[in-house]
Amino acid sequence: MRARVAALLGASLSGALTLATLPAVASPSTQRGFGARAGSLAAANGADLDDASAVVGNPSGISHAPGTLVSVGYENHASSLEHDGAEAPLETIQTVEVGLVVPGEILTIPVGFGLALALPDGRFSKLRQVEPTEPYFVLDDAVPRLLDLAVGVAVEPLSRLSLGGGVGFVSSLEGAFRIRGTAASADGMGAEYDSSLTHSVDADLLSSRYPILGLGYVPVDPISLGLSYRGAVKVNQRIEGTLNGDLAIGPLAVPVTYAFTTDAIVAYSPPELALSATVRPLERLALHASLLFRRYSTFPSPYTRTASRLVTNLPPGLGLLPPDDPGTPPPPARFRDRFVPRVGLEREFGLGPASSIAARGGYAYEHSPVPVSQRETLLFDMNRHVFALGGGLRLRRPLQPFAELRLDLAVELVHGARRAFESGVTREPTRHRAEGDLLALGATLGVFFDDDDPDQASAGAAGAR
Amino acid sequence: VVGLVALLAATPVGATPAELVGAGAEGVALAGSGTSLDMGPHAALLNPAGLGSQEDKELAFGFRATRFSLSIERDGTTTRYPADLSNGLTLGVAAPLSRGRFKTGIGLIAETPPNFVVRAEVPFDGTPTFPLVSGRAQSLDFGAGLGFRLGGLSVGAGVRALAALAGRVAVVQDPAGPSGAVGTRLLPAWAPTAGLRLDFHTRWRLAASIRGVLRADFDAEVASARLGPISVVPLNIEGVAAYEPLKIDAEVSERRGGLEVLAGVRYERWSAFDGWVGPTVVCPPSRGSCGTAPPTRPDYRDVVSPRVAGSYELRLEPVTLAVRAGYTFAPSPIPEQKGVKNELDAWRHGFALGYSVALPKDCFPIRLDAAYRLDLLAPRTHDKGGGSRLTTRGTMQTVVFGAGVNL
Repeated sequence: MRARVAALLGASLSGALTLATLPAVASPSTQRGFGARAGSLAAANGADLDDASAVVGNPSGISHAPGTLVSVGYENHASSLEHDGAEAPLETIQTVEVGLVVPGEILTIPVGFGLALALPDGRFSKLRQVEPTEPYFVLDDAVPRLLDLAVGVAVEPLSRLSLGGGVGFVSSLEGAFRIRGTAASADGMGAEYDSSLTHSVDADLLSSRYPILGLGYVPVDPISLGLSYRGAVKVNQRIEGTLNGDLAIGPLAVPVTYAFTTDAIVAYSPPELALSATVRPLERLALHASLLFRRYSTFPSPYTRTASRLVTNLPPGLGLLPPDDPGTPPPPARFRDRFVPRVGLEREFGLGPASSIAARGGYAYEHSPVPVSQRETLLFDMNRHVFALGGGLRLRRPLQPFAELRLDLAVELVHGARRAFESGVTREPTRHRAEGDLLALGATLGVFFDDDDPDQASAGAAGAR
Repeated sequence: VVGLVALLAATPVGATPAELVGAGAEGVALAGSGTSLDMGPHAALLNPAGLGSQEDKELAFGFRATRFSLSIERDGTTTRYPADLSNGLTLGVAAPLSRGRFKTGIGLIAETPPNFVVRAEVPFDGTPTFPLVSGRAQSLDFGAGLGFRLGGLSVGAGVRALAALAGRVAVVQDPAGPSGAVGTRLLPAWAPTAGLRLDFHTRWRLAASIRGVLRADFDAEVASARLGPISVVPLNIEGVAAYEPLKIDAEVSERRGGLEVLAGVRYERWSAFDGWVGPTVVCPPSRGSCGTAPPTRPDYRDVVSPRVAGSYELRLEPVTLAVRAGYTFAPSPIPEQKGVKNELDAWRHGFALGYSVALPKDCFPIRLDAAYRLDLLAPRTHDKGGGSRLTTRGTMQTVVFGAGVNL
């Protein structure tokens, strides 16, 4: 494991260096929270959020922001996962995060608006459909390569109660392209380029939304409680292609219509409910804990349903062209629901009246939702131990117009314990094993802006004098 | 075995409804004007320099619906062009980041259709379409910007961001049945925005903004396509789903008491556009010619669009009422369609009206806006040769409701 961690660290650092010229840094993950502070606490701080991480973690925290916040972050996720001893071809993911929180008041009631955006590898998503016979790390291949974009609002109707709600967005694809004309068959001499064809496209990039709800409650001063819910995140891809025209085979022109359809859920994150608590036994010490329920049993299948249809006037039995096929339903995933316990510890050290640093640590255990006995699938996953460490620097009123500056750093090591399972996808049941580690490095810079007008403030002060 | 492999690449999408009818209820009521005004979050789309004057934190919501009534008359027979209702939900936020002598502000605005981010409809060559009218209303508008103000001079910069799709589709059919795999990448497409504004003599404002090209391409290649033992040519499904050209806006406004009048002009550089569709077969350099001819350039023209608008503000304690009106003339960049192509468009006259009601901040800090805009498409005839003619007519009606809450 030590060698693997060293390799991961190397991959992470080299990835970080190659991205050093990018303008910003970090990632709101549907998996492990938004920003470096959440990452260094293993996302156990759902009851103690006051920045852009609240938008995806628990929107009720948006109204707690001490001022208008603009944050940028960077995360580097490197993985070293193995299926049956072979390394899984998972690329290092580099995520840029941007957050905006605007708190305020309406009729003296605190309210707030927030936005969180994470852009993995400079893309909104990178997704693929897979074959059931292909070894597939289903929880690592698609979701971490998906854009997180969420907006939320919060209101604090009572001094100890805050409520929040928001919407997250992902994009699905539904499209068709059609080709018509005369397609000349290849003869080895370039005759296919005599084809005379045109095409059309009719495609929608659909917006799929999921709800995010949150509640924050402070029953007594050293204790904060949080409850949050996020709906399922589902990305569909449905693509149709049609070739409609003549197929020229030498002097013979055969009217042909060939159509295919592929349909799949290429990324899925289940609905989840989290109960969180933060206790501050000392002024500068915070203990965080949360219990997350992820309803993975609602995941239908990661596989594709493909259908094809061929219409021609060639006599059947010639064997030149294959028959129609309506396709078969994809094999179900048969995932199980899971609970994820998380704990975190945060200790702040004062450096002066206006600055402090914090040390943080966290742990989470993620039991695999993937079944150990699979009949029609070859889905790899492990039970995971998440170890997180990090630190933070806070500068209060460093210079105008900044009310506060926060710099957070995080290192997260996810150790996947070796896990054996059986699959019958190749007809004869065979034993397989999955293992590996993931390493995430992250940094977030957050700048809170002063809501006061310095000119008016100084004028007021002068008047008071 | 049947194998059909497609490579879909790059389908960026454009921020277009605001370009077509105006940004937000105020922008629509002023017939697309607003480059020189304080437009709240919508300044991120029009002129980010306006964000430097943002005094209050503002959260904006809105709804827009645009209905098209377009008809095509061909050789005496009139048919109605089937254009879908276009609508969008708006959410935006603007906030001052610093006050005092040097002011800065940030703004973010998104208008999205309820069900999709963008719709790409590129029909077969020759099918009648209105690509610059109904086609431009079917996508997301997203903008973010920063504005700075020192004295009477404001400058701003921003970005419009959208989505781009790249991917790979494979379908293989063997005796056990078909199977498929699709891989896609959704890429961001960015277009920069910059602007400046000069406030002088307490009443006058002079502003200009430039917005970069936002282009929505798609490029699908059906490589090594096989129907049984028969191979066909690699296919290239390439084109443009949405396109907004380089735009330069200039506007001057004067405020006298409650009356504000605006006059502006917009330049749109359509001559750089190279067409909605690419060649279905890419001819290898080793061959002089192929059976599929490359598409011809559309020869769109640059256009200059003037506009005038005004608003009048009344204080009817405790509310503040504003009424607005505007007019714009939008010439068509598309030339007469004499050949097979039927990319249809016409000169547009846009008339707009609107109002705003604002409650006092100490009561409930909300402002409600509404706007209506009617665009008349002038009748236009295309001579198709052989005595055949094609004439287009139509209207476009837009209704917008908006609300802004000060936080």
